[in-house]
Amino acid sequence: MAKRKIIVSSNVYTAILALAFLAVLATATFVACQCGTQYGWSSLFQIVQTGR
Amino acid sequence: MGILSTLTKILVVLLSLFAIFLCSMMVSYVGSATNYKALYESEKLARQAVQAENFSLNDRYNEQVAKTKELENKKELELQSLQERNNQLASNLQKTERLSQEYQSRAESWKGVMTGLEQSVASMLESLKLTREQLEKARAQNIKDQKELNQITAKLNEKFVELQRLEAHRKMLIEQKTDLEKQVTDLTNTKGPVSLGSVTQIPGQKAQPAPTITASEIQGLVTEINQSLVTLSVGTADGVKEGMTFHITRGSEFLCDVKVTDVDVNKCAGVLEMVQQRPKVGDTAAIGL
Repeated sequence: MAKRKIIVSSNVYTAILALAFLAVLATATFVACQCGTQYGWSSLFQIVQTGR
Repeated sequence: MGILSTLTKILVVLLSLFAIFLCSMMVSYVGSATNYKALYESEKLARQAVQAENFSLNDRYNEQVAKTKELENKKELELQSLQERNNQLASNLQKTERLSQEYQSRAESWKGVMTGLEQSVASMLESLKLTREQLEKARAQNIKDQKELNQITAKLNEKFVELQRLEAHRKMLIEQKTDLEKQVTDLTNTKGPVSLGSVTQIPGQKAQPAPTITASEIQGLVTEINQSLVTLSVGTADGVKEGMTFHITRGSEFLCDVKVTDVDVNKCAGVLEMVQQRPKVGDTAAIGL
């Protein structure tokens, strides 16, 4: 009997890439939210200065 | 179907798994990370509070230091004054102790003197008592002698008055005798001897008594005044007797009475009674008013 070759469609890999992209996006959002709430939303785009 | 090669597929899967792993690591790290800003703020507030407390403590410290210095100066001055006072008190105490010893020695000497004085006073009191007793006896004797002397003086005055009367009578008789002898001589020369009349008093015939002065006629003057004792110018020769009372007058004004206590020949003395006014020398003294 000849060996059968399993072939996965390319949509599965797209889905895996999408999942990875969503994970990265969610992580970035979470990190941004944490940074904004803890150090101010201005700290997203500049270095936080000491309040002397 | 053969768009993606096998290597690409493997890389896609591995990249996705690695991305998911990194994301999870990132999430876990960010989730557990310390909020340094909040920590910084709290530390900053704590630091400010500590600084404020430090400033206030510094102020209080400076204030306390100033107060302490002031108190130190004050206490130092008080200490100096107390030391001076202590020295003065110590010197005073020494002086006082010296004086106390001196006074104690004086008191001891005075005690001895007082003991001697007490003994001498006791002996003097004894002698005074004896002297008083002797004085009382002497006074009683003096009163007795005075009474006897008064009686003798009164008798002597009576005798003296009688003697004066007899002397006057003798002189009168001598004069009568002289006159009669002269008459006899004249008669003898002219007519011869004549019978002589009786020139002497016939025995049995009473001699005419000398004129007597009644008590109500006695009148004299005040000659001397000595406190309550008054001397009058009349005496036993005028008929004054001891115990008589003279009324002293000045013009028609009654002054006082004088009771005669001592009588002499020409004067008498007495004490004042019923004094209305003090008499003076020259006032009139009479038995009857």
